[in-house]
Amino acid sequence: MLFNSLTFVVFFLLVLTLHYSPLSWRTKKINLLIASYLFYAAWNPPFVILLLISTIVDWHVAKWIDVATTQSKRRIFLILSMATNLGILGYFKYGEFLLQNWQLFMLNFGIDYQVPEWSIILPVGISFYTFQTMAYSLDIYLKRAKPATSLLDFSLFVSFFPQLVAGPIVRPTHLIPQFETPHYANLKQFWWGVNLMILGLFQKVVIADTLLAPSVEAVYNSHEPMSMLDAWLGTLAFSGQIFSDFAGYSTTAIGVALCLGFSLPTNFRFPYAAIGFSDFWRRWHISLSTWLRDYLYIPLGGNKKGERRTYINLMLTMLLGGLWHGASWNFVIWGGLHGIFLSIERILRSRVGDAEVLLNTWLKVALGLLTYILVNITWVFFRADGFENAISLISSMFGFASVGAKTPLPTLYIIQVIIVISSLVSAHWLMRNTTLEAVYQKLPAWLVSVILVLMAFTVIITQGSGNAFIYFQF
Amino acid sequence: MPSSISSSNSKPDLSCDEMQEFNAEHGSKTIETHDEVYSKKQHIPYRVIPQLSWSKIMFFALPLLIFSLASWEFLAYKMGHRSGTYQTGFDNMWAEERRKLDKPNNIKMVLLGSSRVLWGMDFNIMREHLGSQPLQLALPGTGPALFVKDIVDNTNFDGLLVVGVTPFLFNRMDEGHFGKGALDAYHHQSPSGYTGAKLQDFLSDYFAFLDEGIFDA
Repeated sequence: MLFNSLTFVVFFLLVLTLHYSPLSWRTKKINLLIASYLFYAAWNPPFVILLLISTIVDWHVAKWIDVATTQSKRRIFLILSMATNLGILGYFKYGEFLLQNWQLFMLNFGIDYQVPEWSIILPVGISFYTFQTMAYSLDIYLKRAKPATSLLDFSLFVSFFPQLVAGPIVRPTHLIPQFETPHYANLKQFWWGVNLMILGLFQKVVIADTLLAPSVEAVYNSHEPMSMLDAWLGTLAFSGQIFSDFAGYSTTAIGVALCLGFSLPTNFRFPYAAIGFSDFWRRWHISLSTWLRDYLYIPLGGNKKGERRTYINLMLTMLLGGLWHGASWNFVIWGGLHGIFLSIERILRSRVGDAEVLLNTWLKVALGLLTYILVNITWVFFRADGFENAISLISSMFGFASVGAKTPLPTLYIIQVIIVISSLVSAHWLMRNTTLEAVYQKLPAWLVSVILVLMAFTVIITQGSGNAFIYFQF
Repeated sequence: MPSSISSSNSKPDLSCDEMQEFNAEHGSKTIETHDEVYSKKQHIPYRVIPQLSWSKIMFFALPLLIFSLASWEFLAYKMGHRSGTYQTGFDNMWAEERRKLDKPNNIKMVLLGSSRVLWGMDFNIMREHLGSQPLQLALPGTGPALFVKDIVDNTNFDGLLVVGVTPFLFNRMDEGHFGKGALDAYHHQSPSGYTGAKLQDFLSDYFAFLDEGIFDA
């Protein structure tokens, strides 16, 4: 079910009614669990079975790990959990990709291996909830936490509908305790939750789908060499589209949970005002970057096993982080580029250190803009259909397009992209050291009303065509 | 000593001062490792809520929103939009019509082809002569081949298929300009997509601004 759909409006009103009715807390949690399964089934009912498998396996395995008397037994149980979760993820998400690459590999030996037709539908949000359940088993294995005591609470943790299909990826220690005791929103939390929902939908429906998506599609669906200006504008538009789409989902999810009295972690902190790539990853998809850090980078050794190993760990983490987004070499390249930029930054920091010149405001802005430009170059691989199209677009961005290059963007689109992207990046810079809550706290009531009405009104009149969120596919 | 996954007595509604303290401890600058977080006294990091006067905000916002939407509706009406027409777009309309062939029916004629078939038929005359309403499955910019195949392969229809001939579209074997969305809506519509279309139909009976087409006032 999409947040930006009429079905969700009706669904959420029913959920709220049940949540605030005079029922026992246990009954309300059962209601939320049923609602969460319905939320997932509303897209494709049979795939609820995957949620159930993941829930049952990790519930039991975590208990077995906890009571196991030897390290080898603990390891076997952990492998069982990982094999189940990664097996489901691998089969549905990477099966076709692996087969195609196997075919190419075999061709090197002169064997024409015929790939069977692969018509498996990718279950929406599978990467999110498998990572969430793996975190639970890993926490128990690494003795960072004890198992949950209630199967109902654990099932709700795996399937909690506000963040089920596109995050934020929530840690078990954050969410499960909230289910143990009754949680309701007071009036201030409830209305702030509503405000966040409207803001998130505004980002998705108005900014991403209406103002930016047409320019992105015009450029990226063209598949022909184009002018430098159009290539850059299309890519800048995509940077705004993917941020507004994904941050919009996270903001809506946080708002939905808050209306019910639950707290989800922040997933974005104005990432286009990042100075450097390590700063970018502290601001972009925070729940994934911290997951990769805590369950991949640090267990690999992090920066504790020498300089060379640190860079290897960094690259491995980013390459796998790229692959997490999708079964395509373009995502691997995207992750690899981020890994390279992070490594270069690390080398520069070790050489330059905390030089005083770095405290200069203008230099900070210049470094921030450089970061944003480099992030945009990586986005080309994220969005383009295939490697050749990505290279063609990057060639166009650097002025190497052939004579007679296309100009697919009409003047109106160009104006739209320039206004929206400059506003977005400026807003990120203005708010880079603060929070949305702190900014709202200082606004007069009438201005909050006007902003709220402006966003709600444009969401309602724009409607959109019920486009799925980009990150659903991951 | 691992912490258990259990509840704490944290206060959910923090003031902005508390928020600053909280951010200083857990904010963007201080990203801690999982171990560091868990080794501390466990608490649920509740979200910070700005202390705003929501009664005042809603006192202004609700009337303003209703006024804005009423004005928009009035403008849409002045521009010639009307409520009560089928508003869910080609894809859902087509899928809804196509499903009629899957149920018991007395359809004797199905029309396929492109826009000229869509716009150029007089259903009143055809109904008079056939005794039943023909089923309109033509789509703009679309060749008929794929749709003939779909009906032959997947239905028990034994009436008359009228196929429009648009020279540059007739031999196309693909979905054409609108066919993919229509076929997707028919074959792969999710339960939420189906209910969403029904709700949209319901609302479009009352609001002219939901009308995507323009008709003469």
